[in-house]
Amino acid sequence: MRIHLNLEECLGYGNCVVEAPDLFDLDEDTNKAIVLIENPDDGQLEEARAAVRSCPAAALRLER
Amino acid sequence: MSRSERVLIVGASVAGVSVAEELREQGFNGEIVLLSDEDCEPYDRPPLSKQFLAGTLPAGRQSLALRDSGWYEKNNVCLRLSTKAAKVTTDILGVRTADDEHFPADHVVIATGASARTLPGWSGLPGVLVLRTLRDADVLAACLERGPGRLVVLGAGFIGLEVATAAADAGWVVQVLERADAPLSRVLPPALGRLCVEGAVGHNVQIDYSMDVLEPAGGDIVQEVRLRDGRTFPADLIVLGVGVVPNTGWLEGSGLECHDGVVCDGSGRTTEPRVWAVGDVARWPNSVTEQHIRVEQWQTARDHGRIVAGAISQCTSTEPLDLPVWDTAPYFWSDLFGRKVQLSGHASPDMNSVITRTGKRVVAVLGDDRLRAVLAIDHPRAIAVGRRLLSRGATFSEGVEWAKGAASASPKPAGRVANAVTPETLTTPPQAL
Ligand SMILES: Cc1cc2nc3c(=O)[nH]c(=O)nc-3n(C[C@H](O)[C@H](O)[C@H](O)COP(=O)(O)OP(=O)(O)OC[C@H]3O[C@@H](n4cnc5c(N)ncnc54)[C@H](O)[C@@H]3O)c2cc1C
Ligand code: SF4
Repeated sequence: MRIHLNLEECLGYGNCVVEAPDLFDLDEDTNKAIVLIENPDDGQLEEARAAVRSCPAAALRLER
Repeated sequence: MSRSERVLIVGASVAGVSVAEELREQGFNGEIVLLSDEDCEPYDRPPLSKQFLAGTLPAGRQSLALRDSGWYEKNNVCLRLSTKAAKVTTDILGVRTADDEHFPADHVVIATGASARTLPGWSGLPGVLVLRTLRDADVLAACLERGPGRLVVLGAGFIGLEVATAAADAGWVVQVLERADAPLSRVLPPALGRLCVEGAVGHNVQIDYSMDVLEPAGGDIVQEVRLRDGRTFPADLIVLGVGVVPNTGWLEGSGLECHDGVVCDGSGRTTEPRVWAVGDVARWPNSVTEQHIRVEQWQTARDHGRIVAGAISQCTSTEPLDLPVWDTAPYFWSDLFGRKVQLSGHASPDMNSVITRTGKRVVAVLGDDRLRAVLAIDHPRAIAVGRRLLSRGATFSEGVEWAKGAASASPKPAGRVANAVTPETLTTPPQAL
């Protein structure tokens, strides 16, 4: 699974960082999310899903 | 799982849509019907007081859509707009609408959210607005565009303060009048509330406390706000930001237990079997906060949706029930005067609090003997860690120890170093009530 971030839609809420701090960060200068790990391993999938659910801007997707 | 099962969801906002989405994700292949009394496709509320008013949504109004238009059909979710539910029927389980149409169902999910509270004497007056719906936001945005003028916001809660920020940034002269003696006083101890609104001055927003506002004195258009002590504040526009009330009126006589929301168990089940409630309208126990209250937050609505979808899926299977429960610390965010304020856990004004700050980053912990809540400004990573502490039931002193390092810790993951400043720690005793 691959994490896809639509930077256009990202509103910089940082919810993804709250849910999955190992997978995401927030760029303080642009106030946009950064994907730290694009291809989460199996152990990180639950966290990745929670991050996708938490994004109010629907800017995150998990793709096969 | 039987194909003929029908889940009827009343209210199509973040909680209701989450139930539908999670049902499909968890493999439910029965019928899903979503009723909404609004006339537009489901949209998201948090941006209404932020990017929508500021005009900075990446794709304009389209960015507000909860799911794109094709989503409902693609997922075989029947969305019925402009359909107001009037009653839950329990003889034949289902919902009767205001137009007297009856929708039978195997499960009913109540997701009717909340409405903006009004103040006696103020509601419906021209020039007096609230902000809860997209329609409210359109009216408010149009009024602000006609400005700049003088805006008076009644109530220094999150939404009132966000509106104040947007209006001030658009050139309005903004006065916030709060009855309590501190901002955000329903949730936070005074020192923490004041910390959250530090940016107000820089944004030209004047906030005054202990303001005893009188009912408007007749006249068609309100041109000023009058206080009991005789002071007046001129206003071209007034916004009431005085909280919300759960939309439970339509459930009267349904036999469901309601007081300040629909009372549910930890899986979202109401006192009626196969009737569930989610989001702002629902009162669930949370095993981390040990509270059984309504939580008026976006992420909570999302969590409720996932849990109820899981519970319904379980009920339709023949296995013995092992229903999922709400066992994560709730959290929410707000944009106040250009700063990102995030809070996780359950905070209340009478808690002990310790604040640490490094430059613009702030981390605060709240609690009694236990750590009860973590607040961060411009530091989402701290909320991520704080939530873990909350989940494992950390003591307040453990929280304090952590907070001392957290504000100065790099916001970036290990490896990237921020220019750390010595944190300045400030302890606040509980407020005398
Ligand atoms: C301006 C604004 C800013 C916000 N900002 C934040 C934020 O930054 N962070 C955060 O965490 N939260 C924020 N919130 C709160 C968040 O939006 C709510 O917690 C969330 O919308 C709750 O979702 P819900 O689906 O439970 O209820 P609602 O969003 O209230 O939706 C309920 C829906 O049910 C419909 N309905 C009601 N009665 C009936 C009926 N009888 N029949 C049919 N339909 C009915 C309503 O019209 C509505 O469409 C904000 C809210 C507002 C208004
Ligand atoms: S949660 Fe969504 S909007 Fe917020 S920072 Fe992450 S990607 Fe961006």
